[in-house]
This record gives sequence, structure tokens and C-alpha cells, in this order.
Amino acid sequence: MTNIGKIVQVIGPIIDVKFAPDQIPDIRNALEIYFKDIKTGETKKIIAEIALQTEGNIVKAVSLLPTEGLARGMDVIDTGKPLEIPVGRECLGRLFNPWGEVIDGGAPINGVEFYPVRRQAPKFEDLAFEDQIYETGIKAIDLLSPYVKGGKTGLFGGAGVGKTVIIMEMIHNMAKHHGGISIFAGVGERTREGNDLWLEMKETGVIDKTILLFGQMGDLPGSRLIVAQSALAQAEYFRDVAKQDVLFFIDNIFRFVQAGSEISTLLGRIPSAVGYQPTLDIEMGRLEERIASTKNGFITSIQAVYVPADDFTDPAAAITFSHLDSVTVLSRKIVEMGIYPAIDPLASSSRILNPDLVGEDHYSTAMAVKKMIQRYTELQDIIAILGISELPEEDRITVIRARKVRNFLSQPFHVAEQFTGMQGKFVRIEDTIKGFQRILQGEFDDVPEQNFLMKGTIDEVTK
Amino acid sequence: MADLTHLKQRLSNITSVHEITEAMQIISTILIGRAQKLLLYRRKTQPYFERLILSIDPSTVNIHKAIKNEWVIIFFSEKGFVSSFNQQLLPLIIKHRNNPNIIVIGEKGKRYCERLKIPYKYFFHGATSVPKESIIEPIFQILKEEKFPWKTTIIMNTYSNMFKQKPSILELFPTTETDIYKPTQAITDIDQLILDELIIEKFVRDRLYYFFIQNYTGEIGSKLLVMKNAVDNSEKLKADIKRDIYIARQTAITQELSEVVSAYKVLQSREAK
Repeated sequence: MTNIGKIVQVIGPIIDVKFAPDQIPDIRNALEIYFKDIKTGETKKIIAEIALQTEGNIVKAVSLLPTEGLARGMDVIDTGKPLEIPVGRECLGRLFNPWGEVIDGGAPINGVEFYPVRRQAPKFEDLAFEDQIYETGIKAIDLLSPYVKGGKTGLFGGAGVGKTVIIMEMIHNMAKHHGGISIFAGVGERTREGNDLWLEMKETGVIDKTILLFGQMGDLPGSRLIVAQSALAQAEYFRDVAKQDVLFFIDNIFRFVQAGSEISTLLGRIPSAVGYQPTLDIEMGRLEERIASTKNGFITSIQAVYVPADDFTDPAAAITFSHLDSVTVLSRKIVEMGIYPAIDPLASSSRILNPDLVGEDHYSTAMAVKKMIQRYTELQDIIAILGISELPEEDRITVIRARKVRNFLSQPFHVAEQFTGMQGKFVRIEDTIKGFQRILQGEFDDVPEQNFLMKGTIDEVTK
Repeated sequence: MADLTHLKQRLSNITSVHEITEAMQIISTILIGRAQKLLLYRRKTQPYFERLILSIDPSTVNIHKAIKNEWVIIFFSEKGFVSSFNQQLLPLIIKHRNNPNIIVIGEKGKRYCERLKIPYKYFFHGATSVPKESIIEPIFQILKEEKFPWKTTIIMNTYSNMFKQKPSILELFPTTETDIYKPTQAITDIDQLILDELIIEKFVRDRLYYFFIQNYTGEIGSKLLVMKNAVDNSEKLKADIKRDIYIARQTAITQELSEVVSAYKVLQSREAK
């Protein structure tokens, strides 16, 4: 028999529903509400997820769709199960919303398996690790914060520093040089960017190996909160059932935290530090723990992390740090210098930047680059006061080479060709290492530093 | 938002640099006053020495002109923080790099020559305070041993004013003969040739000293300008960092207050229920 409750209160996206005392649905059960739109006369459906049970047989549910048109006393159907989305090969090449409806204008998907959106993380004994570099073809990343195959990577940066562009470039490079399945979760970002990505993928022919899920800026917090989890359910299917390696992109994980914070406030929880939800750690932990590689297959994840007001001590940014294998930090100061990708060489790091894992050559070059840029940074105040000509000879050489290194960390992107007018470049790791080694050795001391900007390999500098 | 501790540390460092540069600016101001006074006096006496050299017997001059060795004396700064004072001389020096008779004056010049692989025959320190006449003695002795070669080139910054030191190539001796030659009229027991030599020696001594004073004044002038700019830059940097500190502090205060207020409101609403 269908379990039906009644709406008792609607505050924004939070719907309070009263059920019979012996029929209170479980937390995380999906609710459905059907009602007739007064203006259009069409029957509308609203999906909500139970977040809280309160006194008086009332449950508080988070709506995934706008609640305009709902009224007290309306019937609410308890589906008796959590939210589920379709998974499988049939989903490849398609666009979904967070609750599994196709949004690309194509035919609906039928006869496929469904996975609950919220699932458990893999068991400890099933986890698998492989300390192998995932080559991105982006010099600054491959040299200074190499990504781990089957690992988690964060792309940190404030607004407008180029996180999404890097993710799109990596998707492009992955399609050309790696192959494999990739899943993209658009969490609370611009809808226009999602559209760009979809068109770009169709143009390059990558779309057939990709699934895209979007819960963007204009969507309700409930939608933004579960989109990453829905995408993850798709990835888990390919890892566990199809036994395939998956590339998993989230843009932007901060919006997941932000959505959680909005809901937490609406549910009346006492805010924690900086106004975030008191359950920030567990929410993030549950999501990140699911992004795991097992004996069946690897999930290599790349997550964009928006840093509010460029403050890396913000709890949302700080909590994300602790889950990652590699961290790539984008800096506004570098953006202001016109260097793209604006990767901060000193703040970026990787667990596998270790001579035993990446090799002595790679490690020593990366460390020498960091050391040189560190020294340059230390000298910047002195340069600002006295000028470069007053530095001792040794420091002057360091500064000159560091500036060339800094410029050489820039690179033209395939996905930005229409903006830069330059052909995108994929640079192999060995070419990257060789290039930086030659700059550090002073082989290009006579070459002006402008020549190093937006170049692929070092050979292009002298052309 | 930048880290408050880091910003405070930066402010402290920049304040130290500011204090040092300000002190150096004051010292340079005092030194340049003395140097300019001396330079002004020597500038006034220079034309008399030039006239004196033109009064000696041409045959005496010809002895020195017959010496084929060309000598180059390059004046650099003795110390740093002089902006482009030394660097602007480099294009003038490059064409003399194959000359075996180069005399370098000033510690910085020694380093530049070593870096650019310009071989020099002699090196002497420049003046570290307002130069005394004895400073020219070692160079004078070298030139005397070489019989005062007429073709002796001086590369240095000529001092126009505190803001302008022009890189120049000068000659130790006058290059053009004029018709104002007049044999010495004074009645003396000294042989004319010896007298001519004495005049040349006096001329060289005075000319070298004049170059030293000019170089020193230029060096101090450059330093004064560098320090003035450094003081201005550090003041601007300090103001920027102070602004960042205020923003960071205000953000932290606002954050804390809003957390306290929101928690209070939540607790209050619960109590009301």
C-alpha cells in the first residue's frame, strides 16, 4: 500500500510532511509530490529527499525542484526507497540531472539498472593503490604536482582563475591520449560552462565515452548537494560491474559544501565555524571516501575547489585538502601577470613527488624549480624597494632564471585556442623535465624572458 | 585573505629596510654636499691647468705623443646601490676590451670586468669618502713609469647634477693643439725641458684628482637617488601591507561577531520553542 503523507509547512526548499505515526519513512527516502499548476493546468512532479525526522510524525524533506505551487495539505508519496539513477553503458554520451532524468533533449533511457544515489564507500580490504603518474600533458602539473592514477586531485583557486579551463583541457587531453570512460559532475557552476563542455565533447567525439550530470547554479541546494553523489554512482557502476578505470571530474566541490550549508541553515542546525554546517566533515568524508580505487578498477578524480575570497584557511577548502593525493593551487597573482595556467608552484604539491616514485631526475628538477621560485619570492620585497640591479650577482641570476621558469610554466591550451589564438600543446613529462633542467642550468640566460611565455616544449623557445 | 602573521612579518621586514634606506639617504645627502663643494672648486681651476699644458714647448709634448701604447682608465663605483651608474659604462668599455693596458678603479668595476671577461692590468679601489689628493698616487706612478703616454683614455660618468651622470669617454691630455702656445716667459734657472715635465706632472696629478672627485660625487649622487626611490617604494609597500592587515583583521572580527550572533540567535529561537 502506498504510504501517503500531507504537507504541513513549506519554507523555501524545505518541505515538512506529516505521516501516520506507524508509517514514518526513513531518512534519505525519496518523496514525490504531484500537483496541478494553477496557471498552465499541467501536472507537475516534485522530488524531495528526507533529511530530518522531527516531533509530531513530521519529516523535513529537501526538495530538488522549486517548491512554487505547493500548498499545505497536499499529498506526498513516500517511494519507500532512496533516490536512484540509471547506470550503465546506455548512459554514455548522455546528459542527466541529479535525479537521473535525461536533459539533452534525447529519448529517455529504459531497461537499465538503477543505483541509489547515496551508497557506501568500498570496504577497506577492497581498496587498491598504485603509485603511478597520470600524465596530463600540462607542464606545471606534471612537473610540480603530478597526478596519481587512481588518486584524488584538487584544483584550488578563487573565482575566475581558470579551474574550469584546466578541467576542460584535461578532459580534452584524456580523450586524445588516454581513452577510457569519464564522468563529469557539474556542481553549482555556470550552466553556460556545462553547455560549452557538452558541445566541445560532441565536436571532439569524446562524448561517446562520457556521462555528464549537472546541478548548476540556478538549481536548488538539494539538487546541488546530490549531483556529485549521482555522478559517483555512475562511476561506481563502471568500476565495480564493468571493471573499467574511470576518470571522474567534479566542478566544483565547494558548491557541494555550500549547498550542504544552505540546507543545514534551513533545517535549523547551529552553524559551525565560518557559518558552515556542523556536519561539514562527515558530509565531505562520505563523498570523498566513495571516490576510491578498488581491485576492480580505478577512479581517478579531479576536483575543482573554489576558495572563497582566496582564503585557503576557509573550512571548506581546508577540509578538502585532507582528502587529496595531489593539490594544484591556482593563484590570482599569477593570473594578474597574464600567465596561464596560473598554477602556484610553491603551494602545489603531490604525494607521489618522491624520488622513488617519479624518478630522481623528475624529483630533483621539481625541487630545484621550487627552490628557485621560493628564493625569487623572498627577494620580491627587496626588488620592489631597491630594484633588481642592486641584488648580488648570485641572486640576480636566480631572479632572471626564476622569471624564465615562471614564464615557461605557462602553456597554450587546446580548449582556449579561440581566446589565445595559439595552438594548444600537450607536453610529455620527459620533455617538461628536460626543458626546466636546461633553464636551470643557465642554457637560456641570453634569451629574453618573454620568449618563454605560452610555449610547449623548450625547443619552441628558441624558434 | 592573506595570513595575518605573514603580513605582519613582511611589514616588520619592510620597516627595517625602510629605516636603513632612510639612514643611507641622510648620509648620502651630507656626503654629496661636501663632494659637490670640492668638485665646484676643482671645476673652476681646471681651465687654468689646461692653459698651462698648452704653454709648454711642443717638442716636449711630442716626446709623449710618440709613445704608442694606449692606456685606458675606467672609473666605476666603489660600492653598490648606485642604480645604472656602472652599467651605463659597459657599452663604452666593450670596444676597449682588447687593450692590454686597462686600469680599473672601483670595486664594482673589478667584478664587472671579471664577469664580462675584460682583462685589466691594474686595479685600484675608488674613494669611500671625499677623496684626498694622495688617492691618485699609485696611478700617477704607473703613468709616470710609462712616460705619460699622450693617448690615455678615461671612461667614466661625468657629473652634471644629482639626477644626471653621463657616461663619457675623455682624454687625459688635450687632443687638439691650439695657437695659444706661448713659451714660458718666467726667468728661471731650471732647464726648459725639466720645467715642461714638472708642468705635465702637475697637470696629470690635478686631472686625475679631478676625475676621482667627479666619480665620487657621481657615485654619491646615484646612491642618494637610489635611496630616495627606495624610501618612497618602501613607504608605498608599507602602506599596501598595512591596508591588507586592516582588511584581514576586520574580516576576522566580522567573522567572529557573525558567528557569535548567529549561534546566539539559534539558541534563542530554540529556547522560545
